[in-house]
Amino acid sequence: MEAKAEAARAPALAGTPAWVLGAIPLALIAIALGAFALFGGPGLGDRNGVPVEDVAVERTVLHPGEIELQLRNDGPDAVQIAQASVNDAFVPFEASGGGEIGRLGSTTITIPYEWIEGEGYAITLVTSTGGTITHDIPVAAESPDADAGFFGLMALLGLYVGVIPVSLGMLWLPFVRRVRPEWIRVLIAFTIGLLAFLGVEATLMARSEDLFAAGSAQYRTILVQHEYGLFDSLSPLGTGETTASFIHNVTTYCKLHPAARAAIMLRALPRAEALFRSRDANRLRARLAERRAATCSALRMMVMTDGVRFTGTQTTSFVLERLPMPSHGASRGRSIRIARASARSVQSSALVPVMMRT
Amino acid sequence: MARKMTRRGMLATGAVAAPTLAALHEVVPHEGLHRALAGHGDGSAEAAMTHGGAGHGAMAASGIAMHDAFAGSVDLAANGFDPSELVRDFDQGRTSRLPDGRTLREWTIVAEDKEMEVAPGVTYPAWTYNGRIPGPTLRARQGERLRIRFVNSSDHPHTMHFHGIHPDFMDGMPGIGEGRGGGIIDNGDNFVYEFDAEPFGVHLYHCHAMPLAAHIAKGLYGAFIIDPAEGREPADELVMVMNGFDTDFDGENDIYAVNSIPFHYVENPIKVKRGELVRIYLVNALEYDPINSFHIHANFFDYYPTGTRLEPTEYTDTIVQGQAQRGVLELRFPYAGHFMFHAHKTEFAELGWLGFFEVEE
Repeated sequence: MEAKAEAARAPALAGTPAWVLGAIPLALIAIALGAFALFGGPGLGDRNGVPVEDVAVERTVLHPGEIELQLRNDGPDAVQIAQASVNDAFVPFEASGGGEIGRLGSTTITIPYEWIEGEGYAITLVTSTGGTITHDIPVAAESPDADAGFFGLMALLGLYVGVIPVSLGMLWLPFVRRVRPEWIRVLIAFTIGLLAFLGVEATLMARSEDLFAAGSAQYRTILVQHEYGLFDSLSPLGTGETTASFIHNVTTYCKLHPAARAAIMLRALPRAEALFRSRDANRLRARLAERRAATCSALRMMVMTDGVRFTGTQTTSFVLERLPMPSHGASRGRSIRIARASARSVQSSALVPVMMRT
Repeated sequence: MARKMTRRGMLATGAVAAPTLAALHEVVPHEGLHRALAGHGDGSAEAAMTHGGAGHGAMAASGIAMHDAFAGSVDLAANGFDPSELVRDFDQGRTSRLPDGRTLREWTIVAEDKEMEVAPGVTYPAWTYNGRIPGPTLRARQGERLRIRFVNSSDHPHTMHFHGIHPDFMDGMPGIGEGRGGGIIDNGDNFVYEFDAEPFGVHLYHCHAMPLAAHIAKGLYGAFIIDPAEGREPADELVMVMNGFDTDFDGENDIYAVNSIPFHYVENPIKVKRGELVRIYLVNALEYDPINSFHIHANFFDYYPTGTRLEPTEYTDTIVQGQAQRGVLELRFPYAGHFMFHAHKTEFAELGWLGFFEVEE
């Protein structure tokens, strides 16, 4: 019935084999593409307008007397890095490839600079068109070297999270072999359910907003790490909170909990809100430093603004850290590792898994 | 910069990123990198070594380092002006006698758009008077009749607004004087500004088209000197216009200088004679920043604000000027050697507003 109706509607193609009907559109597409290539894509030639410079700082490496930035050109046009300044002072620098970065290309900028541990640096790169790329190093600390000890530590961590749990699990094998088939089904069902849950959760997390890109994720909780790894929520911060009330909250908390060791606050702010712009953040850091001298002198604090330039939002993070006490067995190296809570190191920090979204 | 983050990703990040980061540094090719350091053989390096006290030495040394920061040098020929010449370039115009016996002094000033290299490798779409920044230093004598023919060859409407005493339609103000051919001068139009040279002193002229800040910041300004009728004591005279460039148009200057090219007078110190009177006509044309300053090392100067009185008001080594403030500085160098001068708003100094005098016997 239907075939007859089709034939009645399209008598001209009735006798044509089906494969031909399938091939015709393909042939037309091929011809169109060929013509498009032949004429050099009319209408899609050179982009009009002024060059768009969009350069991301992908990596920051600090070694004694040297700051190294790895840049990636995310924009459609080539970018030439012409000058560099650190904290508003022009500095000499070296750039691989002469500082010219093609589209999606990368370059490494090496700046000889006697940076001081624990201080903040704002690096500005000036392009040939006069555009600027700014990059903040909130707290300077030496990047770890990949020596034998480092790899050893990583191997040990791998042992903890990979080998030991699996080995422990395998010890159940003799037991599992002997239990009744119904129980096996229960265990398998539970395992499949767990895997499905992990799969769904991983997908959701992968799709969720970056902590630092924020935008939708509003972190308004300060989590304070006490000694021995206990965590405490400082205060849910309202959207209207001012710098002054924030400082008040923190200092009050410091007084109540002098043993507090570290805190990270992540907060997403609309770009229009000038409250925690990087300059304000520096001012805030200074003010907190001043207050804490009177209250909890052992606390160190760090302000972080990262990943804010292209997202239209601003995230500010604070790490309050108590200087390492010999009784804790905390070496200076460990302290630095916590303080260097750049966007990336926060990701790998033990604090992150308990961070809360409000 | 946005990067996805998952709990599980963290371990991977920690385990993989860190060693990669460190290893990366080892394998990054350093050969073929362009050397940022310029030569030290320009005498200014010696200045840091031989002529500084402790503080001066440190400052000078950092100055040299800052100078080294610049890869290569600015193409002065392409720019069309050299700050080393500009600093002593006074444009007296053409003079003739009026029927009443007074002197008539005339200039032609052309506004034009020009791509300018404002730091090595950094170009800036500037607007200029006569193709240079600052514009020509117009110099007249008190009481003369001045006639400035202004031709606008720029793509944008401009004016010339003189600091001085004159009728309103000669003020270069949009909305005033259009009926008499003045006010805003459109592209392709021209106008003759005519007024008496009053009062004596060091003044400035600049474009007064709106938006004002942009028109000034793009380069439309210059010094305007009126000598007292009786003249000033003969001296080695210099003009210094403090300025800067907002190369990324965010309303903040990225580069600072005196006479436009950052660190130029570090590489090419201004040569003066020991014991000779040096007179500096200093003008602050800096846009966006509320103040600018001038500081001389190892010396003091007499300061005549706006140059409108012949008695100095201050004997100092540092003065501060707001935008459009200006003054005359007079000093003699008792010692030969290299002496730094710079904005004592030190941020400006480290971003280019810094130079040297080279005092010769």
